[in-house]
Amino acid sequence: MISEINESIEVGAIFGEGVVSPVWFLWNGRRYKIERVTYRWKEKAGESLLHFFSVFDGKDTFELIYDSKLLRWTLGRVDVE
Amino acid sequence: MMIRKNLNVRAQLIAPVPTGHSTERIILHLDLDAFFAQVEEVANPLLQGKPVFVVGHSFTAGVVLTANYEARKYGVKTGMPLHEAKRLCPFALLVPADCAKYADTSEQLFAHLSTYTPFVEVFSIDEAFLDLTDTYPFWGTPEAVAYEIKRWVWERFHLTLSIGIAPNKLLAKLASDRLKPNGLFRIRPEEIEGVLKDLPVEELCGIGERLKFHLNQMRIFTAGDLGRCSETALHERFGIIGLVLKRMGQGLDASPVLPANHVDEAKSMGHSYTLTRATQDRRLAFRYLLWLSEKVARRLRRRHYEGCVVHTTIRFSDFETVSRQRKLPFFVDDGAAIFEAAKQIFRELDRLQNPIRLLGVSVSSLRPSGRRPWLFEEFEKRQNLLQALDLINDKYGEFTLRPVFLTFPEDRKIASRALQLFGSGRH
Repeated sequence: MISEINESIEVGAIFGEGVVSPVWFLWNGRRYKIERVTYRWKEKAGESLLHFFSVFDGKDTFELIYDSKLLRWTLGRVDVE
Repeated sequence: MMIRKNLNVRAQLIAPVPTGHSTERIILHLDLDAFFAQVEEVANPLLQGKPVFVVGHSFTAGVVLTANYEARKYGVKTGMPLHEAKRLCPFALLVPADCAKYADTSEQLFAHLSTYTPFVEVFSIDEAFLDLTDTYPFWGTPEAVAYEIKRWVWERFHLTLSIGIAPNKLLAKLASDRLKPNGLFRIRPEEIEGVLKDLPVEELCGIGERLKFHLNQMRIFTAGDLGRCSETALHERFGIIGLVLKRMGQGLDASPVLPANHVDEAKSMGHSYTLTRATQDRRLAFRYLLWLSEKVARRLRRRHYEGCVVHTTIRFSDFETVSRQRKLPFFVDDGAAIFEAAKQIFRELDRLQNPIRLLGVSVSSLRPSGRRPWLFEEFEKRQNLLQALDLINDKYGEFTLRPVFLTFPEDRKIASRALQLFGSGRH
């Protein structure tokens, strides 16, 4: 079931050469280890360029959003089994 | 008589008719398999192996935008009303469409395709034609190019696509449909006759239900029948389009692959929109009419054109399509002025209470626009305003600034999400 969350969160990520890879994130007091980034895409929102990541922790799927102007991470939505 | 999503009918009519199949062009058509559904399956492993429908904003009404191959096993098709699809496959998972995700994927793919040839024509969000005639030898064979594209798409997105290779666009599109999903099929010149002989005529790109009906009435059921039919009979029934149909039946299509930067001398510019659900709501219809008018106006201004004939098209739910035009006493490139004319035409054509399925607006009798001194200050101000709006929308995205009448229910949902993301002050 997909739930809209849209909460600001803390994310651990590796910034490589032109590639951002989230590794873990904190939400509701729990640390989620990302097993794999399943999809990534970009979208313009006003002056911001938003980087979207679909990530899988081995059980559930999450959508993380990185705002490259505000340097802020958001948990967009969650799909739990 | 209209040819559905034609392969550039005008180009076919003006291009020289090939004398045979001897001069072989190498045209490649690629089509991402069940694109929206496939992207969602890759993005969300919880969907894999299950039937999936990608739908619009409503989970209860509207149509299936794409069904994955698991769902297609139950007879579900793209464009099928959702209630019917649910009846066929009640346990399917419904996923809301995420256009930004698909558009970004498409953009990356189409940008990559230009590394194989400068002649890349984007046919839709998930389809493109490539003219490889002069460039495929760098990769060895046309098939080698196709496999290279498939490999790149798989490594980049984990998506599959089907590819057709043939001497023209019509046949390349037909070929890509032959082996789906993840197929590669080539039609060589010597195989054309055999491929078309028993091919149902509606499988030719551009022949929809209405055209099929008229052709069937002439006892034309296969592409082979169409190719053998006399030009005179086809011309009598369909006018100049009849000649194009005859060529299609013979597997001939001289239309070129037109890259995105191709600038043709425009005769008209227009947009149409098929509503996800037929509506009787005239206020909503006007809203779409304004949206289309603004889109046409933006396109005119971007290409530096203005026009003085406005056309409006309405298709009702019984598929009757009506269209009319109005000549204005002045040239326009302003969405509000186009809308005013389109609205008047709409009122003349409207069959009250009849649900509307499609709306279209276009502007013709074009001429290059330019800054001209205005006699009245208010016109000058309006031009300055439009210029400022264009600058803002160029920078921040289409319809960032728009008439307030163009706020759709789904926009309110998006706006509320944006507020939560950026503006609520909660973070």
